[in-house]
Amino acid sequence: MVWLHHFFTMGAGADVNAFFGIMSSIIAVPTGVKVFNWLFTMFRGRIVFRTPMLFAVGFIVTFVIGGLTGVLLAVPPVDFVLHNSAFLVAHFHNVIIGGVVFGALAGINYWFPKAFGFTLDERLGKASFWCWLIGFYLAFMPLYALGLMGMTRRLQHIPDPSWQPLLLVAEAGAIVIFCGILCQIAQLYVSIRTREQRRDLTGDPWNGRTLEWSTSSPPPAYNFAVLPRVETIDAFWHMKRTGGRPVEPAYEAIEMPRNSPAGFITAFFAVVMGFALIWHIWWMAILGFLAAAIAVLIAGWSDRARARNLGRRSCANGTGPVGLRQPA
Amino acid sequence: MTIATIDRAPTAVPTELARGRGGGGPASKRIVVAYGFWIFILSDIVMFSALFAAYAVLSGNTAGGPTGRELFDLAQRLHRDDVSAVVELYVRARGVVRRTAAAGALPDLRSPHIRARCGLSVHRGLGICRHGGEGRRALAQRAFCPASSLWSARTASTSPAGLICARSIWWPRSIAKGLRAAVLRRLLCWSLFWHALDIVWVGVFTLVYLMGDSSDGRSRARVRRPHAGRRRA
Amino acid sequence: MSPRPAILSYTVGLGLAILATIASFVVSQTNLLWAPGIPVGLIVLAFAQIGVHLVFFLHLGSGPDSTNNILALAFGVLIVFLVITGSVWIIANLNSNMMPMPQ
Repeated sequence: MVWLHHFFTMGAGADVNAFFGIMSSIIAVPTGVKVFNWLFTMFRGRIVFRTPMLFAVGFIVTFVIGGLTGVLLAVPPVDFVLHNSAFLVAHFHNVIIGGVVFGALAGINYWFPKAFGFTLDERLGKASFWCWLIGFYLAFMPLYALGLMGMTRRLQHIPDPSWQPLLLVAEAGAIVIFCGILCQIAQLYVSIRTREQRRDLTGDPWNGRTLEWSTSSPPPAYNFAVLPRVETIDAFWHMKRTGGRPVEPAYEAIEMPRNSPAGFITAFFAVVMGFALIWHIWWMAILGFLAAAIAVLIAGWSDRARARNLGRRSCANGTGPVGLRQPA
Repeated sequence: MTIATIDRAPTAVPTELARGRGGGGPASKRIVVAYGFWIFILSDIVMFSALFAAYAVLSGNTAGGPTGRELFDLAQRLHRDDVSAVVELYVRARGVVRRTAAAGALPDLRSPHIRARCGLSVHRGLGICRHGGEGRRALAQRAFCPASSLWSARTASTSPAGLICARSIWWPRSIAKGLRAAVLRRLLCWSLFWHALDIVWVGVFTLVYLMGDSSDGRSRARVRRPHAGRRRA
Repeated sequence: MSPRPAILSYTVGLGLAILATIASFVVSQTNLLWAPGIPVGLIVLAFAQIGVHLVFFLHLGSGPDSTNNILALAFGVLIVFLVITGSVWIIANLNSNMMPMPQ
């Protein structure tokens, strides 16, 4: 309900622009509620500042600042002045790098051990965070000032020499971000090289509170051998605090879908059909459609080919199913 | 894919009693699957609503080509081809009969209901032919104007529905395999899907065909024409 | 074959659906309804038809098993409403600001 704030200068009347301007401002309220959620989640906790936590805190701070400038731009007359200026560039990089990039990097650092079975190098992770954070502010804060000074986006020369100092600061920031990216590449390289020493054998490298940390790293295809019985928030934390096994669960056969190339084949022919439809290559469109349809038909025909039964299995790395863990 | 076992501790509540009150574990598989499929259908309907919106905003932009009135002349079609109205009604009937049979879980392939289903599946072909016939007739009248957004929007709205109709050729498969449990489940999903598609078709038919052809379409066409910019007067 | 409650639901639904279909044809093809009211009549009949489908064929009733489905439907209706009315309003607004075309 806010999307037209990308469209303010495209010729809609005042009532349409006003509606979306108001909605864009209003949307800052639930966003603020979310920020308070995150802050109160951390409040009175025992925070350990490892890489994921650093990126998460960096995300909150940076995203809030970007959101504030967004509310400025949500006012249509202001947007008419600042549209396609460097102020806009600074704002959307602020929310995208703060919001998407820092959030994604926090998630990658946090769940990498679960997905791949070994931890990432912590020192290089911290170095990459500081480079990203300092580099981002150096690179984009000058752009807010430059935007207000009249600099637009997509320039091929610098019309006003007084912009140069700020632009040099921004260039320095870009170089620092680049160092951060180099640190991340190094982090991956070093971690993969030393992965045997970094193996996550317990499935729980962070002493986590949620249930994914009760599985092995990486988890088996069926995730949980026994469906966990959840009674509280942070079920795994609850299990850790109240002790080990309550009752011996009864195992049943687990039915998993069989591996199949049908999806890939169907998608391939759908791409062929789409391409042909764009360029009006009718014979290719029809062939692509028929091939995709036949692939779906064949894939769905056989019942036997769709399931495989696993029976009783314990997890790959020796940790038992949920309910059988001993307290750490 | 079934859910892995729930541990049989004494405090577990039988799932039949746990309806909508948050306790006792997951609902029965039939309810869960139906809910998931229903959400998928709703997402499909949202996609169709985007196509409707495109039609709604583009229906006046004929760029000098034929207006809705001329394209969708139902009266002319009814006189020439009574099947279209009949097909309309059969769209309802076939869906109903299939759902009935699926609900009744009739295992006998020779039963009259299944015969009726097979018979009615022929009428699906009429749905496809109707779309094709319209296209041919419109081409013959040189009504196919590449610049006409009305045509693009109409085609974009109705063709997906027609394509989905065409998928019904996969019918014989169910007959061949008999009404086993897996086929029955898929039949139920298919009938859910069919009825939801019928809802979409009600919208498409009302907006595109009936409104385009209704007796006040004539006055709307007169109003619209000066704004459409007749560059090929 | 003796009609069971399930089949009764389908039969009643089929009858109502056929009625609504015929009514929409009548409304659009004849002069029974006051001309400017025809689009409204068609929309009302379309909604009635959709309601028949939902209740009699998809069994979206008031039972406890349907609550989640009805909530999902309400959300879907909201999204459809926003998409269609929003698009129509915005594009109409933009169209009214377009320069007149040369004749």
